[in-house]
Amino acid sequence: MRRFFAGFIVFFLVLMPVTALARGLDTVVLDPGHGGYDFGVNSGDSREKEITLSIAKKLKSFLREEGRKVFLTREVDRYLSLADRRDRIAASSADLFMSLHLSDSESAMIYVTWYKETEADLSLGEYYDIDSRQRRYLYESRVFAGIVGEALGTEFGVTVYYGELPLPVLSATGAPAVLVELPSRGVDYNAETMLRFAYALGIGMQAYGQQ
Amino acid sequence: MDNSKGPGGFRIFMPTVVFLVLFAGGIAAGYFFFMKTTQKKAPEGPETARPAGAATTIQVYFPIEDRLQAEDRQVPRPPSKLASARATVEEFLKGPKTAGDSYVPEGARLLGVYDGEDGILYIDLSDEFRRNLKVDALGEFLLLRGLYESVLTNVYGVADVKILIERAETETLGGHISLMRPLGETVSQTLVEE
Ligand SMILES: [Zn+2]
Repeated sequence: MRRFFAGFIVFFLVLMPVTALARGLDTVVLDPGHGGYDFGVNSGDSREKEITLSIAKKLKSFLREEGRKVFLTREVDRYLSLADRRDRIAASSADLFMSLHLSDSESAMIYVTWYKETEADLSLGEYYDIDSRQRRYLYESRVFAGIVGEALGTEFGVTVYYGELPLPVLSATGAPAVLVELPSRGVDYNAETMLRFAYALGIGMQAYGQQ
Repeated sequence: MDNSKGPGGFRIFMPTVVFLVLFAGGIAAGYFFFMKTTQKKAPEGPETARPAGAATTIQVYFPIEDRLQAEDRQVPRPPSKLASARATVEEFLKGPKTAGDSYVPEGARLLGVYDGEDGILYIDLSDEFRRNLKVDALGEFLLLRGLYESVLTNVYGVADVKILIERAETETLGGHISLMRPLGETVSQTLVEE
């Protein structure tokens, strides 16, 4: 544990300021999954909606210290429809987007969105539809997913799997966007663990920005 | 969970490949099932009564862990298209007999099935189908895909499926995937391997 935190401290104090963000990720939007009557999955006695909000708030404060603007789609424990989330994401001019969830396993999952049609098959209306916003960022989102997964795997030792699913919060995002599911099993989500996950995700974001 | 490399070095789920195999198998099974049925009977309207009686086998696709698992179920031969849809959905809601963690929501009931425009079959389910669902994104996807595959395999003349909860359109079941459009596009994920 000590070695883990020491690694983070070296990264945040030395490496991060030296390597300025190459991708200009000024505005980061974080989307804590679920909320209100939608609990998500359970992890021990904790609920997904609480864990995701707590980690998102910790991650927000890290990123703010680094001078980035950070918005959360929800700041409190309330239900937020997918449509409301998409509206908030669209209004935020995000340079980078991450939706936070828990997987129903001991592994972490990282998703990018999936489209049935290629751009060539779209009508003009479909091309400019809110759900098409992610199309031009699919490659970058995959790169982002790989780097975040690397950070989670390296710094936390969890197995990370990657996939594509039709996820509306990602489809509506005009920036690199991933949905991260942290493991719900085999992890005790106390304050320290959540801080560690927030750090690992922060490292992933910074590493992506530096590439 | 098994996975493999996809285009651009991004990994894709092997279960997706398994779905496709299952789906192809399901289509083939459905084809032979209906060929068998139609060869014996004259063409008929969607709700024209057919003599009930003998049992028939349907294939139901259940979400189990990170895959879909097909199970054969014996049901009384449905006398109509909508009866066939009801029988299929009711078997789906019973959950799998195969060992492994499944997440078909407990206590969910079928409230009705309706023929819509353009071949869309509306499946109206009780609120337990949403309320008792505790899954991650892949689980939600597999549940929807399992229901969709089960219906399209066993019910003739269905172009797409739309889920209603308590007679109303519902945005999402588990907070990850949208139900605002019929399921076909959402669950028809096809991935090309390297
Ligand atoms: Zn979730």
